[in-house]
Amino acid sequence: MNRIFQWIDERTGLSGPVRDFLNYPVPKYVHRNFLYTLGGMTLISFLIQVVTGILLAFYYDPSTEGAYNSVDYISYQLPLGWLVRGLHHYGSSAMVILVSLHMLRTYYFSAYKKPRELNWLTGVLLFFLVLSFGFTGYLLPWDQKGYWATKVGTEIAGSVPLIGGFLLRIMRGGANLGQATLTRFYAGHILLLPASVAVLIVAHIFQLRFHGMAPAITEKAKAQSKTFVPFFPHWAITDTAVGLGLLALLVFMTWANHAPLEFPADPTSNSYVPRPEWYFLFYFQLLKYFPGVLEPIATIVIPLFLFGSMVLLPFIDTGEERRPWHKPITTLVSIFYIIVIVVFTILAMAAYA
Amino acid sequence: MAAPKLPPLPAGKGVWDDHAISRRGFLEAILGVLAAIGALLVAVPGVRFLIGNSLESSATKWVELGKVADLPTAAVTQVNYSTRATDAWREVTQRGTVYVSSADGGATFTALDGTCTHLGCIVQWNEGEGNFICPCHSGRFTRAGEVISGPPPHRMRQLAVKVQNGTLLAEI
Amino acid sequence: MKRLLLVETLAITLAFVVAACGAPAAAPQGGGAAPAAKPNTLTAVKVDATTLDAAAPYWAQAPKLDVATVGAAPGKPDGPTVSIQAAYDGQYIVIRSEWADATNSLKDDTWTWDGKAFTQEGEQDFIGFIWPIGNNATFASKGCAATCHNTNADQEKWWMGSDSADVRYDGWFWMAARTNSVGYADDISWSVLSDPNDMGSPRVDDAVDSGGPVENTNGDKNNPAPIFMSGKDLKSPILLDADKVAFDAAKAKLATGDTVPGFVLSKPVGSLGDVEASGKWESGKWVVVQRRLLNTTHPDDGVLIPSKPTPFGFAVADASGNLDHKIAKDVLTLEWK
Repeated sequence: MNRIFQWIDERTGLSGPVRDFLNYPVPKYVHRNFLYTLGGMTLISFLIQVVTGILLAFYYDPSTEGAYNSVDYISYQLPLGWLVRGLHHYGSSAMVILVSLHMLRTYYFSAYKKPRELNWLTGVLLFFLVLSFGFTGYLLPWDQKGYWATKVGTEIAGSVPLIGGFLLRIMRGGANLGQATLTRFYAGHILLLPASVAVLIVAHIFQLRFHGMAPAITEKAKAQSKTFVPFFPHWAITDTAVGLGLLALLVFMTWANHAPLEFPADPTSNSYVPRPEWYFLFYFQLLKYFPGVLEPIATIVIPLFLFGSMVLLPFIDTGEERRPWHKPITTLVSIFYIIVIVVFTILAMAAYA
Repeated sequence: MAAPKLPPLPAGKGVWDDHAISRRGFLEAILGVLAAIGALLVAVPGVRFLIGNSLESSATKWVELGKVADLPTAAVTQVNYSTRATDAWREVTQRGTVYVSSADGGATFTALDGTCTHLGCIVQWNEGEGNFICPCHSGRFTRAGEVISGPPPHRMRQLAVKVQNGTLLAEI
Repeated sequence: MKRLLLVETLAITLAFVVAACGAPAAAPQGGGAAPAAKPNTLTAVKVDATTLDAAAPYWAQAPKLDVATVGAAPGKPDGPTVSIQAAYDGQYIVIRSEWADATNSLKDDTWTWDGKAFTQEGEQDFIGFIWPIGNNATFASKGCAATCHNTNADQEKWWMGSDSADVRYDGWFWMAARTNSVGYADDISWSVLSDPNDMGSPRVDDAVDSGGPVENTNGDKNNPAPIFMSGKDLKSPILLDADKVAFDAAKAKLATGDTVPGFVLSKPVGSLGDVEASGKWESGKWVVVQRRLLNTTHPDDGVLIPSKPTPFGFAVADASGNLDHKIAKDVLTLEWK
């Protein structure tokens, strides 16, 4: 075995970098804390999406004529098709949840402070790309749910003053939802977004490795910040175990409840009630409270504010203090946002039960 | 398999956790098992999924070639049939070429699949020579479909035929 | 900067409080737009083995879907409420329908003797199910309305079918006299109007190898008469092929008002006979059980796949035929448990 590695190393020079990567020292306080697995789990959920997505792409037909029937074929006629599609469906929700939890963990541990500001920004960008994945993927089955959710979603983009009309047409590939919409959403979903996310993930992990883990917050953790375990195998096992756990959970969820496929898109339907995927429900509900002239508050001000505050966070909160219980403002603001999102999601679900 | 010793950490950074290090070999083995399980869980269903229905043999069906009354009885006729078929997830019009001839003046018919048995090109009936010639590599078949010369490995495929309500059908 | 963050957050909170005053107004709108929980859904239950027995024990576990019917033609009154249940096993699906009908109507173009000549008259009771063949967006969204082409002021020019030859529907047409007597329902299909002069041309019987109903008529325009009668029971409204003998006026000894069946019946062999059926009329109520392979493999049939929700519709008629059949108003969905 060693001789094979030597042979490869003589020709690639890889053993040095690989060994450095594997021997990376992980502080003990990280090793003992489940919260630190969230980043890795987000990456694993992305990998699950990539693998299931590639498998699905062998059968998916991105034409308005064939899209629905090809997803129907995958779900009901292809061996294990229901499983692959189900993993992709539940995996996308898992990814949104995990990236949000990971972001919250990073936020509460103040891991965005100097010198990690750019890494936080990379993460914010990744967060929005994950949401874009969800938005573009939702349309692809071309069923009632995906069609109408995209119709409404692009209308919201279209309601932005000045550039709205332009935005809507670019997103739709025309004035209406049709073939051009489907193909560009598909190209974005399987080519542009994965490439962008992959590059950003590499940058994200590189910066993490470069800076190391953010300083410990609690006294107990600080006491463990001078003892290390190597990434391989100690942390890698943790990552692999939670990854397998995630996979098992997704398989169970799929087995218990196959990924839904509603009836084919009917653009002439006047009785269908559009709703977005669950992680956009809170925003969908929110729009109801800003009708008419107040609408720009919901379509521009609030999203800009949210995005802006996320981006500017490391430059606003520049103090040395990292402990959340000593940082009332950032802590309360985040709790406020969480409550708003949860409450509005519940309101939306009740409205469309 | 003894793991190579870990390089010492930079001065001032800290130390390796001895207790954790002592279990390294054991943990590597566990990791190997978990990774293998994970790989199998992904690879086996993945491969099955990719194979999908590609190995299923397609059912035969009867296609209409035309009214018996309309078919020439002496000459070899090229019939391009079309029929509704299911192509994966689509309903399509499936087309094909069949050569129809009769040796007994229209009492019975022979239907030959026009696909050359060499590499799949469609053969052409040559009236002058009185045989089929494949345009790709000049394989030649008799009127009955037997190989005369050229690369084709076996004779043209003969299709089962039947007449129903005055219409000739072939089983493809 | 931190203060700015705080101020902005408080401003947004204030905006929400202001908007929340509009919330009670917003909520009922949201509630009004909400669809009720799973209406119009027929849930098929999995059982070990399906049968044509209307009293089979598994029917107790099958949820009932009560469907109110309305007249298909304008101005016609509403029809009965039809109770449907469904069950399936590894190969078959069975559907049980129950509805109120005061009369057991078995006349089907029946010959009536008025003392001098025969006239053909009479409509039977029927129930017909319609299923889309393949994925059909319009039918899933609109139901039978998608198949109804009633844009002409003249009701004679109305027809039922699809808008293109690629779009087809599968029908199970159970008739009290013509098909129930031999234990099946006609398996038919609808496509596009192929003959502009024939409003019935979209509807086509499935392929049949042998058997099926045969018109019992001599085809004479001036003196129409039956050519067969029952050798077993002259009074029966049903004439089975196995019982038929040549019509003999002397043997029949018909009195005014006596009838001879309009069809000679036998069970078809082939796609037309895919749907087995058993219907019983008792005390003002029809109970009909129909059973078919989930996948008949015939190209003129729709495929039912357990776990895949499928839209469908149905119509019933009380001795009234096409002129006044009662339909399920909304599209129904078959789901699987």
